[in-house]
Amino acid sequence: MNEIYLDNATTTQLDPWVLEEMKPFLLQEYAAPSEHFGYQASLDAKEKLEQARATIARSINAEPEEIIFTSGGTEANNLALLGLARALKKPVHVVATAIEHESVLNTLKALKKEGVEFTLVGVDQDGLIKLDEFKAALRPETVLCSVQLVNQEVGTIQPLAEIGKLCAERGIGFHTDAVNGWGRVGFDVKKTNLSLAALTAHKIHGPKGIGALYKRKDVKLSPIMYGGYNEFELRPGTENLPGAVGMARAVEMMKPEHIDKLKRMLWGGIKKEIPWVHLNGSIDRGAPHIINVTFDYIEGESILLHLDMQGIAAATGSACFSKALEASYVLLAMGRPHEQAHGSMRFSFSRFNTEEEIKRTLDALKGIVADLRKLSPLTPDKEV
Amino acid sequence: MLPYSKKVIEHFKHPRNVGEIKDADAVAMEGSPACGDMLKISLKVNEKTHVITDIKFESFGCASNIATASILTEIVKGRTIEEAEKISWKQAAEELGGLPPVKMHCAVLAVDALRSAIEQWKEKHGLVDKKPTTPDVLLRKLRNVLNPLTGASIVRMQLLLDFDVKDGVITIDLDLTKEHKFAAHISEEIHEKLDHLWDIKEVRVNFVGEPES
Repeated sequence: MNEIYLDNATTTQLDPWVLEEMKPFLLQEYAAPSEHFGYQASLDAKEKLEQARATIARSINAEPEEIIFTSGGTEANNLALLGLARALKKPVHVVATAIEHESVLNTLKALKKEGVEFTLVGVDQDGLIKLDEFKAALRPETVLCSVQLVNQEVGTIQPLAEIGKLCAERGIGFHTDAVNGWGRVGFDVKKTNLSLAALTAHKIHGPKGIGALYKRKDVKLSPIMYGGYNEFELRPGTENLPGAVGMARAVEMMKPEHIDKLKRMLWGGIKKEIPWVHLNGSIDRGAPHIINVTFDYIEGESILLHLDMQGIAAATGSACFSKALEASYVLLAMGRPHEQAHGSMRFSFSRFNTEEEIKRTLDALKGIVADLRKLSPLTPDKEV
Repeated sequence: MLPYSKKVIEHFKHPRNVGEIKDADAVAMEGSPACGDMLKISLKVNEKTHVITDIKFESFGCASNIATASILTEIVKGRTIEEAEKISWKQAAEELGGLPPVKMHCAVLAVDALRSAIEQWKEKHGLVDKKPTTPDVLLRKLRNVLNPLTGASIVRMQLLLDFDVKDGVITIDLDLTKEHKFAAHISEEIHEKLDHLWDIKEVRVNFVGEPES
């Protein structure tokens, strides 16, 4: 494992306190949570599951019965989009942003085969949804809008309250992929008029393999998997009680953290000590845990590998690192030219990172960027 | 870390022959920053013996780009240009202990840059005539365009349905749909290989594959 882990927008370390909370439900209290098995252990488990559900509901100002446990954020997004489209027996049109996570974009693409149409709305140079374009994309048959809370690559926070109001006025459902913002930025499903919201535990120091879909009481969904009658008959399979308990504990432990300071410290240092850099996104309006930086004249995979060799884990938007050899679609949608997307690096923080780590990362970056620029035919002045 | 061999990592960490020869006899640049891969090679060649006495490279690119350029400079330094231009991208990749399929084009880029530099040197010394771009020339160049999914040539993969060159216009028909995830990438590579040819005005790449139903 890397000594310094700055890829917390991908996944985070399980908090040891969360693990402690989960342990009894893995080892001793392993009964399936249900009221139907008749024995005490399963009734106790059910009670614990409902407590976890209530905690998660409280964290977003929802009611407990509006929380459906899933295997994670991807399944929650799938259940929201596939479930809603399949429950409606009429032509369906969906509006989403062009920078949604793949679990939204690829689900929409798959829904095309089921006759669903969708429109992707552009974003500005900071990654904020273009509201005029959004309004223009709405049609009489638009049934749902899907706009993420926080962008996974650049950390931009979308104005959900404003979008929610527009949707409510028109009677359009509103879904958010809240996976990269839940627990880190303010989020209230009532204030934002949300119908659906996807959550996951592993991005806030909870376990992998557990997430949830918030579904407002009046929203009708079809299940996307078939089996037993768990989770309000919307998500079959024996409930992941240790996961649910861990997820609830994880969100309880999220509080205003020092990570915003770490973000500013790293960007401040980069800006001061490394020439030819750009921030992708906005430092003040972005989520506290993500920054995305382009280092001109060099390529991201090379930076990433050099950082890795020095024990530092981060992410890049370079095409060289993608399976499709395509540069980050998020940065391209923000109007960045290809070469800037190729040279982009995402650093994302958690409460387990320290100022000392940020200093070491900055020192490493200075050397790596200077070395790679010496190698690059594009660097305008190699003496800088 | 990507599945890179020890040798790739070694050359990436300590690239050989980096920089630019100030009084170079030939300089060539291949690729473009927009594609995320760019390589510049400069050469010093002994006029009498044709031996490459010095070679340096600069790279805007990923680890395999840097590593293939580095190893290639090591291989050809001290050899004649006639020996050097025979080295294929496959040999360069093999010397590195292999490359992941999606990275094979890096080896192609390195070999292309070297060959362009050599060709330039030969042109300067009156060793080549300006040859017209015939279908044979075209096919040879297209052999170096790879499908990134497999790392194999589009010619060998029979993705090349038809090609023609007429009045300075090259037309290429590919058995791929426009929506294929590598369509844009392959088209870019073709343009990179052909656009600069002296007697070519235009290169048209058509995607004529049947869409999957």
